[in-house]
Amino acid sequence: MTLDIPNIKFREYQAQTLSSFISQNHNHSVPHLFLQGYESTGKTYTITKFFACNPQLTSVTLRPEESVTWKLLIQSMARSIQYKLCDLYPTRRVQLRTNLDPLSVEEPFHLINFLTKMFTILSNESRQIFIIFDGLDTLQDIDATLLLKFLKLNELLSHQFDNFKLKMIYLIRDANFIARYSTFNVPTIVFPRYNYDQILELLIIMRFGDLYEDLLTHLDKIETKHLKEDDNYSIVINFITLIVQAFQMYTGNNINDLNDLLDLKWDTYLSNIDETNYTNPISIYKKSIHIFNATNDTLTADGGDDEQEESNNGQTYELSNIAKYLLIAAYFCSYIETKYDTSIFSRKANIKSGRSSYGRRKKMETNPRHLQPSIFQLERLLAIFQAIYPMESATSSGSLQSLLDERLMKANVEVFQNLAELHSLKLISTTIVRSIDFLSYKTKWKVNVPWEIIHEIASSVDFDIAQYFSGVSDF
Amino acid sequence: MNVNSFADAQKSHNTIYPKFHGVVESNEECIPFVKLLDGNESSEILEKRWQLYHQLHSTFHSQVDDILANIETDLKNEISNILLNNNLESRRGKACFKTLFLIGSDSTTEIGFPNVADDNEVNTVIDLTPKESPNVRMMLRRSMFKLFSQTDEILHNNEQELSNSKEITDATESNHIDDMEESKASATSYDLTLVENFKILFKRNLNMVFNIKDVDSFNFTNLNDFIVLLKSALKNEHVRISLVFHINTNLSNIEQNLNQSTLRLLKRKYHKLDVSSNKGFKYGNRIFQSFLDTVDGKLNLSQKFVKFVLEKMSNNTNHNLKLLTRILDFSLMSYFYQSPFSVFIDPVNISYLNEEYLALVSHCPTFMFFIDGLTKEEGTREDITNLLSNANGTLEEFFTEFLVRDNPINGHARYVSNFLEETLHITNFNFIELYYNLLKGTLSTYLDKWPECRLHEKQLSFEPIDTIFQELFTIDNNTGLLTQALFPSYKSNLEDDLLSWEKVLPVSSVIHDDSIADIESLRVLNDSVGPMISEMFKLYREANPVINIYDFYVALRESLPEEQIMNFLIEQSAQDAVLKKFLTSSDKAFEKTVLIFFMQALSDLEHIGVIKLSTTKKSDVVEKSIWKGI
Repeated sequence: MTLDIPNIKFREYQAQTLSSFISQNHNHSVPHLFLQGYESTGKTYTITKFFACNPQLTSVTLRPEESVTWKLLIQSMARSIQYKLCDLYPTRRVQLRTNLDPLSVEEPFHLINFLTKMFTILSNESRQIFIIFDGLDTLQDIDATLLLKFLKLNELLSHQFDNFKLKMIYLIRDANFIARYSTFNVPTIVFPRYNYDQILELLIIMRFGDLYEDLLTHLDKIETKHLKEDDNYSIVINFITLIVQAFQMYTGNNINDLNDLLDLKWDTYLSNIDETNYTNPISIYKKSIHIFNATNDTLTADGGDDEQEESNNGQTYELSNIAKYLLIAAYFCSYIETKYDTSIFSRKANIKSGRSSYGRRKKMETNPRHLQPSIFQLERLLAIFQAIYPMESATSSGSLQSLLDERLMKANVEVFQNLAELHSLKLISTTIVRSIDFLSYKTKWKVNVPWEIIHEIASSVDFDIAQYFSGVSDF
Repeated sequence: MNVNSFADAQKSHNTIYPKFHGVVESNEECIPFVKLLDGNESSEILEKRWQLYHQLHSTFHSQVDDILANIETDLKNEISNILLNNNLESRRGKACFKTLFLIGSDSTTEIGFPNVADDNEVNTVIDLTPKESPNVRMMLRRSMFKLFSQTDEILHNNEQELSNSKEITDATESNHIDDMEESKASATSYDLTLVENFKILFKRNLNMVFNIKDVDSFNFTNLNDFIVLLKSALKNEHVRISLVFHINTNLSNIEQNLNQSTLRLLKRKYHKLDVSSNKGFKYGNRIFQSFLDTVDGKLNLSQKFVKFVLEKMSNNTNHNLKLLTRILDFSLMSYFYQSPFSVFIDPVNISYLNEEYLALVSHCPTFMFFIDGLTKEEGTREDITNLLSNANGTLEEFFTEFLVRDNPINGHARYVSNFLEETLHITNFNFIELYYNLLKGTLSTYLDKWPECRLHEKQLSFEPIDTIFQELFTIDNNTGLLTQALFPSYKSNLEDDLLSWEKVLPVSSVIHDDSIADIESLRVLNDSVGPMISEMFKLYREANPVINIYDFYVALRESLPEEQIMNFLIEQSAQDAVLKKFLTSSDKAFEKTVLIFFMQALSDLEHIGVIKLSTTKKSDVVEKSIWKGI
């Protein structure tokens, strides 16, 4: 008796091959089978279709990804087989349930005991069960020995039982994973990636229905006279083609990603269709060109208005001015050597400058910003902070009132509050993690921010941070 | 020595609560105010002033408490609305997460469901913290355990309710329950199968809310994997999953750390909610408004003061409201503490007005300006002298007349804010800034931010005018008192106090303690030397960055008055045998005593973070670690 072969687009060969490895006669089906193909190459779809077409075959599907650990995986394997058998032999249900708790399966030998017990109960029946591991290498703590255990398991069981046969089918993404087990001579069916044309065709088949429905409701809403069906079709197909053309470079031939993008962009595209342009695909495209320019996988882009407001308040990164300058100072502390401090930050004219103050200067071979941040003491941070923090004076210079003004920012409670905030935001950190005495001189600090962010922060307060680094090294 | 006192001795620092020995007359209420007008204020007025302050303070605070309590409830409602609102089901029917980003959250916001017993659905909130989530396996196990225990609790309660209302005696039904229990117990494994079989086990749908706290501290690879894992639970029809992220940095930070595909997954149905109460001006505006209301529109705020409030609020992004309340609170207190005229905020107290006050009134700049105007214009000579000398109570009348007038600025500020909110529907204005601009007379430039306002320029315009006697009823920060008290620079204060300890510690001559006064030599000693730590600090201040420890000791020894110290010790030794032995056993008693002082002071200095004791390399020096003036 031959098996039905499902007709699966672009996977005809694979389905054909499957049918030659799987047979109703257990002597003719292979005990282990690899289906290898990268993400979204249609493995799961094909195998599900195949068993759906052939209901006379018994199959159990496991999703190792959900199990996380191999313990849970073999547990769920035991459970699934138990449930399947209960369904198949309702008369033996009570027998199969009593004293057989899948939760007790914690080691491979438990699994063997468990299966042996069940198969002994059903000793006068006969059946082959296909166990499908959907994505074995997506198991979180996969290791090299797990598959070996399954390979052995089958040997052990088939030795004991002639009537019950377990046939394993492993769906595997990574070709390297299979290469490790090449000595076992397990047959492998390879699912190659879809190419561009195939993807386009598949997406149109998959998504045309619901997108077309959307389109019709939308066209009803904008009260256009109905077009010929062909034209409506072409709008949807046009959209799918555009998406694939625009983003295939970015996603690769990954149907899932393209599918997501279709979903996320369709509404915007739809809203750009109105009574003036619905007959003209080019003008629709022109109007909605921005959605094809970027993936826009951000959560923030939608609230464009909000952000503008934020920048008005000078609250990028939700930091206050003091906190921003503190962070800049911390960045200086970590990336400028101490010996340059006097020449860079001091306002005194009589300090020896240049080579005499810090010795012969050699251009550094590596940009200090590419190195790890160096650690510094709090006092140095506060001193640099004082040097760079701009104090605006309300009184005119030279007046008596101006004598009372504080020229420099003193480290008051606000400064320390902001420091604490920066620390809890993990923008600056200490070398010790536990039980930190923040004021102790033993505590060393370092900045935890890359150049891009500090540059953004500095520019939000109009502080030219790049200038401070120009003398030290080439950029 | 018992164990406790031994343990105390090992502590690096102790907190000492001073004991109060004075006689307390319990029937008399203690008023922390002092008599003003050079002490000439009558105690009756003092009491009135205190009562008035107390009354305003408590009204203000009860209003602030209301406002703050509203923030919580507003927020809770909003969150549960988003989580429970099912109208936004994805059109294409593809299962996806409902995602909620709480920005600026300190992870204390609780997620609650309205306590409605729903027979079809179980609502569960599963908290995840970074500490509990070292890897995906633990995250899954923990969350499934929480799911199970919560569900069990909910169902148990329901069953109790049921059994209370209906007595279940039917044997078959109880059998059925047993059966269910059994299958429950057998199938409880803490992985996703629990979610998958939820409908079978509990006969209910499941609505799971993952409350992911402190997202910034998560290991993002784990979090990402966990979300992907949860995705596979979505394929079950009876399950709805919402993810709540508590973010305290910003969204783009989270974005950068998650996979693009995960992000697209989250993006399908997501909401953002800014929960930091300082975001937006709504609550700050309300608090400020309630402060203005509290003082009945009588009290003015000076331009400088409002600017101070604005500045300090912008310096503190996270605890804005607390800060605002604190500043307003403190300023109100200090106003009542120092201004004798504060008692007249309540016009009833006008009866207390007497010569002392009027003498001050006539020196008010605004009043003098008014008199100046009178002399230039056609004011009669008699009127002016009457006013100045308070003949026939003219000045008193004049003062009273102005007392009952409302402050026009407060009134107009309120009018403008109402107009903006109700007529123009602008809510994102900062009321404090608006008030500041009102005082400066630049209201129109502030309102230019909203183009709608240009149409109503006439209605909104306002010319600030000087009211006579306004300086008597103005909260100001011209002395810098608020800056000093609320935002002290603790390092320079520390230095100052060490140098001039007399400012913070009572000088011995002031203390009238009998036990000390008896000993003449101690009094002499107290007069000649300060606390040892500040004696050390004086030397420290003059030293180089690195101080040789022996030199330091010698310098201290030389600076201390040997004679007075030895006199005191000798006198004391009369009663203390150990001390006597110490003094007589060696001829270097003074050196030893100073050494004891020195070691104590040195460890004190180290403890307050002023010096670094040597590292292993050089043990003979101490390093200065305080940098002056920062």
